Amino acid sequence: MNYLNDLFTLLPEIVLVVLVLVVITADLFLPRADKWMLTPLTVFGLILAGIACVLVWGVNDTVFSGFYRVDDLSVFLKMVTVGVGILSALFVPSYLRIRRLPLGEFNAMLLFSLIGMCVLCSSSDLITLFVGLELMVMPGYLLTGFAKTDRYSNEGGLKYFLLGSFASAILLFGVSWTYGVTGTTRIDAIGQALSGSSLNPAMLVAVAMLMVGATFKVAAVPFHYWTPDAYQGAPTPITGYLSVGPKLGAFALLIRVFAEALGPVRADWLVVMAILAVLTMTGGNIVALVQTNVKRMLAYSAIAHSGYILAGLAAFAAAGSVAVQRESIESILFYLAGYALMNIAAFSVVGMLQRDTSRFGGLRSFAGLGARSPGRAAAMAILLLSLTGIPPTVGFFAKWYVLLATVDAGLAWLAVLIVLNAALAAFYYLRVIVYMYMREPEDDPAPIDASAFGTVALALSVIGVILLGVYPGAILDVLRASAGSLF
Amino acid sequence: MGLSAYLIVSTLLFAIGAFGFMARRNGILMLICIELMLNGVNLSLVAFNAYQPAPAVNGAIFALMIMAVAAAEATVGLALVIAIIRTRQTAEVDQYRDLKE
Repeated sequence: MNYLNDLFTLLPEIVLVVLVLVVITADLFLPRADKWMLTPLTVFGLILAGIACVLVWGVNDTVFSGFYRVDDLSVFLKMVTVGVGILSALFVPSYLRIRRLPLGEFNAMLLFSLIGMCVLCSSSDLITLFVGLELMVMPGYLLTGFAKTDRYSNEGGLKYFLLGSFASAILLFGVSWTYGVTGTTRIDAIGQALSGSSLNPAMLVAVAMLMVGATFKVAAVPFHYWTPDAYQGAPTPITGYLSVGPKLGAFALLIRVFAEALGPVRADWLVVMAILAVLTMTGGNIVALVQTNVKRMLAYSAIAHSGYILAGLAAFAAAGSVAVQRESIESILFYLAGYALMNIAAFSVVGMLQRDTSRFGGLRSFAGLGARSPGRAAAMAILLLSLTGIPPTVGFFAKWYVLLATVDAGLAWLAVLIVLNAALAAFYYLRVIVYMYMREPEDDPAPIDASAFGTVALALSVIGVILLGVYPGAILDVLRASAGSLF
Repeated sequence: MGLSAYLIVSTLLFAIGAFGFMARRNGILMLICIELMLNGVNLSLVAFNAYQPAPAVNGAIFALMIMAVAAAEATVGLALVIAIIRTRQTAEVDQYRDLKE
């Protein structure tokens, strides 16, 4: 066994771990006036991690006695993870500085969470999967409660923590019984043990527990109660991270556990997954309609987006051929990448309007933004159009690929419901655009936070949203290779 | 005593923890209930491991990992509870109602 080779495949994770240590040490020694340098340092390190991801692309190897797998699927998800990290590291600092919150701790927590996501994406054993999951969500709890003298932040953090840990315990119970029935914790071995027979009662309990625990983490209705509170309570740009990062990890978990380990028995969980998808997108959209607080509205819209991605997973389960299965996994991956680009930025624009800390990002603070800050208003408009799913933005193709997958898998009714939901969602997204361009500003408009880092990140996100919307073919080959590593 | 005895105890532990989590309204007690659920899971993992036909260690290793993670989880949870007690002077989660529709 060649351990040096094993270590090489871990290059992105190693870079991230070294980066965390460097950031923590630098935070100790930098004088207060120079703390801002932590942001470029973090972004530089993350770019290195991205390069490391490119280096391990195509390795497709199982390392460390089968506990860890570096395949194209995991490397693709790691690249998205690194991108999420770069955007978050750029968006958050000015929001923290205004509120006198520590930047070094934020960067360290963010990076720990990213490492957890990388481990989760790459795990080929339930033990690694669990450790990665917890490493991802625990910094998330702390980031939610990051403004520790703020009542809302505290409350959101504690609610997120209690319900998140409860869900982890349920997931673990399912994992334990899966181990009991199949006698292994290796993901591919579980698939082999389950193939060719129907589920016995014990395994049925295990699958139900796994389903509840995992869909809790992606905020699927009816397990979504923690989401709006946690997302509203957390510092706004951090909410952007929370709505994308841990969700990306949770979907990696769903792909690993349900598509890979429970793939052979997918007929047994298809119906539940499809129903959850419908409940999630419809429930999220309907409640979002009546929100006047844009932050809470975006929280519910994040729930609805989980529903669309779950529909992709349902398409995987219903697919009659390997080609359609691949297509549905590709659609999930594309949706995750597009969603990461648009959602962090959308939350961060809300954060930019909270320059005055006594304001709470209501719909009215967007009134007249088109005249007051044309660049930010245009960026927000593009992001909202993308969230709605209007071409030429990445959001359109994300929904389009999921639709194609559901139709090809024979779930036409699900496709119809997706379209109806997208139309429903247009109402509340476009309402913000109406406020920005067709309403007069308030008498005392909210000041806008125009930090350089935030502006750069916003520009990057919008460029990404449009580029992938005009030419989605750019990453299709990458997606094909990634989805291919599952089959 | 067979495997089923261990499984009954472990499931009971898990169920008591889950019931306590939903019935209790004190943040710290809810945290303790989560620990109880995790201990139920640990017991079942170790039991499953001991009754594997071939010599196995994965279940026992998993239980050790869960213990380590549970310790970290308790730390994070207590930190959040302390932070919220400082701003609200209570650990009763019923009183935390600032975030709502």
